[in-house]
This record gives sequence, structure tokens and C-alpha cells, in this order.
Amino acid sequence: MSTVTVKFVVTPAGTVASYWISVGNQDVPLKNGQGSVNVSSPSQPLLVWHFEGNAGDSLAITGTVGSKTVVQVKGSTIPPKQSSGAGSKRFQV
Amino acid sequence: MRPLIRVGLLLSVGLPALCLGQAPADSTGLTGVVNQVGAGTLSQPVSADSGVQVSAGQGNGSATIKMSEDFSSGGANSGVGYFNIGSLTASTPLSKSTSTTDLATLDGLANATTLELKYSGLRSSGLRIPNSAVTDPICAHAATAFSAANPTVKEIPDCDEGFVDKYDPAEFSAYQSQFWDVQVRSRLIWGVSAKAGYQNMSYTDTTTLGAKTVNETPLSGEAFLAYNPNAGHSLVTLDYTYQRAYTAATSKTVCPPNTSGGNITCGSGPFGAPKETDEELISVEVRHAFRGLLGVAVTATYDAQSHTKGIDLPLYFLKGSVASLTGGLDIGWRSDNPHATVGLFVASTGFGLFHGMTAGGKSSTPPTGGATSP
Repeated sequence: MSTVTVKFVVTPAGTVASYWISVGNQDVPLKNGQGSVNVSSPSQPLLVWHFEGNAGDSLAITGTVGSKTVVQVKGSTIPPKQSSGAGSKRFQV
Repeated sequence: MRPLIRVGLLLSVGLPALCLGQAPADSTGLTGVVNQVGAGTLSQPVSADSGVQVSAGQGNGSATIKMSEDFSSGGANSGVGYFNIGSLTASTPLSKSTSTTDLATLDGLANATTLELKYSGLRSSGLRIPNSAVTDPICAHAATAFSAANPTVKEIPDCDEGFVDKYDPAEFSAYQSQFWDVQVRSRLIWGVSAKAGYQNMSYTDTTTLGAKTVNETPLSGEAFLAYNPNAGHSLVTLDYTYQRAYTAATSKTVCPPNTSGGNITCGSGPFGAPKETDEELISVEVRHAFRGLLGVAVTATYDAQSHTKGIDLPLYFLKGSVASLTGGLDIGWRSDNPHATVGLFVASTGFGLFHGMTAGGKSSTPPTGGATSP
């Protein structure tokens, strides 16, 4: 078993005020929507995202190892009448 | 003030085409500025080598360059998330005027060349890691409903609150509670900003009737603290704003007598030196969204300089898009006017709870009910 670094790019759309992502038991600090985390390979960690804003705002997330995209969230959306959104997705590294 | 002058020159030289085109709402069509600040497109802010996001735009008759950074820390594992945004914005008018705009608003510096520093933060509690044993069956059920509703679509969207809300609304609360602990959920938002401007104003001297020019420095500063209990649909904000602005004197046409007996030469323009106006506003605002159908934001404001009081009550009920309320009725009262005012309004941004805090380096102006601010 080895360790790989997953680089994340988080792209907010609309009036998103804040966002956070976690991978497994690690919170991923982000600067200007970019951050990275080390995970064991092979494994199937769970990506969890939370964000806040106004209804209809959305968030896209891409995680890469080297040049390979290992996880992608194309557009998570804040539901009508809500001021936050969240979701999770398991991926393979 | 010299850096501000340089910014103005950079924009006017680098963006000749901008001054003639129709002003877009945000950062579009500004290739000239992008080439000067870094590679990239302006559909998103440009990331310079320093890691600072840089964006450029024009709108409302001014051109703007903005550098911003945002930081996210904490998250679902720690139960609390922190998000901070800092920005430095330089803005210069595309067509220069000798008078400021509406002094009754909190943004009377709009027509002057300005430099603005902002920093805001958000603390959100109640984030948590979901239990897959609960969320997976809900997502599977929503995916089944999606496939039934969209038989020709092969790719099932990612499962999130929006997806469950649409395709398995009966389980939405159960799904949402896996991500947010409603027992401890709340938001605290704070921010400070400082804005300084440079304004070159010409006027006619009332004594000598000669033309004069004076350089003024409009200033403003703001600090606010907002609390969003239970991360619900209400927000309480305490705000302090100081502003020093300048207004051109009333324009007149003046024809001084010609002592040599020849033709009289007349001139027109502001007659007298610009007037300085200081405002020190303390306000409390309570805003609440009623099921996405009505947004109410009542603001009580006190001007510590003039001792004027005001109450502003914008009611948002006109929808600008599917998800946002952008217009409605504004009811106002101020102590120096015996009559209440009522008017229709359209806000530049939709009704929201986040005090104009927007991630990603985009500009955002919180809706203000400035029409009745003292």
C-alpha cells in the first residue's frame, strides 16, 4: 500500500459564500478553491462537501492524481428555499 | 493617492474599447486588462503566480481591478468550518464627473476613483460526515426516480441535497440531517472594509469668479457583525459605517462684468467650493426569507453626526430569476422628513443572507435600502 496526493479544485458559481470539503477523516484546507490531501492507495475514500449561499448556487469539484481525474462533481446545487448544500461521493485511488 | 492615479491611467490606456461598448454586468470582455495582469479568461478570476486571484471588470460607468484571496479551513470532521475572504479593489470612473452620486446611500463614493480593502469571515457550525448506510439507500431511491423521469439519460447526476430534494423529497430532511447537525447549527459572519477615493473637482470661486480646482479625498469605513441562528432564514446584522463625501455646489452661469467695456464672457459650472458631508451611521438590520416567496429586511439607522434616524423596509417579492428575489416595494421613514416614502425598487443582487460575501473573487454588492438611510 502506498500514499498518493489528490489535488482538488473547487469552483463556486453564483453567490456561494463559503465551502468546505473533506476526504475520509481529513478536512481539506483550501486556498482560492485549491488544496490537496494524501490518501492511501489503493482505497475508496469518501469525498464530502458542504457549501453555503443562496438557492440555485452551485459548486463543482475536481480531484486529480497527477494528470488523472479521480473524482468529479459537476454541479452540486443548493435546493430551492435553502441556504446550504451538501453531498458525498466515493472514489477510487 | 498616487497609486490611484496610476490605476486610472492603466485602465484608460489599456482598455480603450471598453469605454465605448455596452457595460457588462461583471467580468467579461476585458481581454486587455487580463493580458496585463496574467493569463486566463475572465469567466473566472485570474490566478496570478502569487496565488492571488485577480479579476477585472467594468460596470456602472467604472472600470475595476480586484485582487482577492479566500481561505477555507475546518470542515465536516471538525464540525466547524471557517471561510475568510480578503480583497483589494481599485476602481476608476470611465467618464469623470464633478459631483458625487446620491449621498443618502452608504456608497456615496461611487463616482470617485477609489481603492477599497475588504476582509470578511464566516464561521459555520454543525457540519458532519454522513453515514453512508443512511445516505446510500436514499441516493439509490432518488436515482431510480431520476431514471424513471429521464429514461433516455444514461448518466445519473451526483447525489447531493439538490438531487434528493428533486427526486426523493420525502427523504430530503433525513438526507440533509446526515450532513448538518441541526442542534448546533448556526452562522456568524463578520467583516471590515475601508475605502478611500481621489476626486478632482472644478468650481467657480464665489469671490474672484475665477476657475478653481480642488482635490478631495472621500473616505468610508465599515464594520459589521451578523448572526444567523440555526442557519435558518433570518439574519441579524449590527453595522457601523463612517463616510466622508463631497458634493459639487449648484451649477450656475456667471457673467462677470467686462471692465474694459468689451463683450461679456460667461462661464457655467459649480458655483462655490464642494461641500463636505460626514456621515457616521449605526444600524441594526433584521432580514428574513419567507419560503422563497417574500424577503423582508428592516433596517433602523442612526446618523451620529446629524442625529438623524431612519427606518427602511424593503419587501422583496419580484423574482429576477427562478431562485432569487430582486425587486419589490420599499417603505421608508427618516426623522428629518415628516412623510414616509414608498417606492418600487430593483436590487442589483437578489435577496440573500450572506451580507454580500461571495467566494471566488467575484464582486458582490449586498442589497441596501439606502433610499431612507439618514
